[in-house]
Amino acid sequence: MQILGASFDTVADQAAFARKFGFNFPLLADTDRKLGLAYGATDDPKAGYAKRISYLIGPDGKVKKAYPKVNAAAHPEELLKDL
Amino acid sequence: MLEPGAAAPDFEVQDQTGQARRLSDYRGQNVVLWFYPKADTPG
Repeated sequence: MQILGASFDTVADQAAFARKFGFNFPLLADTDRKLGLAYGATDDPKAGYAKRISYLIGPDGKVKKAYPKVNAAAHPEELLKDL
Repeated sequence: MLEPGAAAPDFEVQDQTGQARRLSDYRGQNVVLWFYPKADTPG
C-alpha cells in the first residue's frame, strides 16, 4: 500500500513537515489546487486549506472508498479494515 | 467527492523532494490519498 499525503503547501513547506515528523511517504505540494479540485478537497482554486478527506484507490485505479471526514487518530485502523 | 467505483483522476504533482508523482505510478497497488489542511498541523 502506498500512502500519498497532499495539501496546498509548497514543496519547501512539505519538506519541512516531512523532516519534522520523519514521514517517509510522498507529501504532494498541490499549490495550484488541481489535485484538490479533481478530488473534491476544495471547490475553490484559491482555497487556503484542503478539506480533511481521504480516498482508498484500488490497484485498478478506481476509487474503492471515499472518506469525507477523516479523524487522523482513527483513520489508519479504518483503512486497514477496508483493504 | 468522488464516489466508490469512479475512476480516480490521474495527476502529476511534485512531492517534498521535488519529484513528480503520478497516480499511474502506483497502478497495481492500493493507494491512500490523504488530504490535510496545512503542513505542520495535527491530523
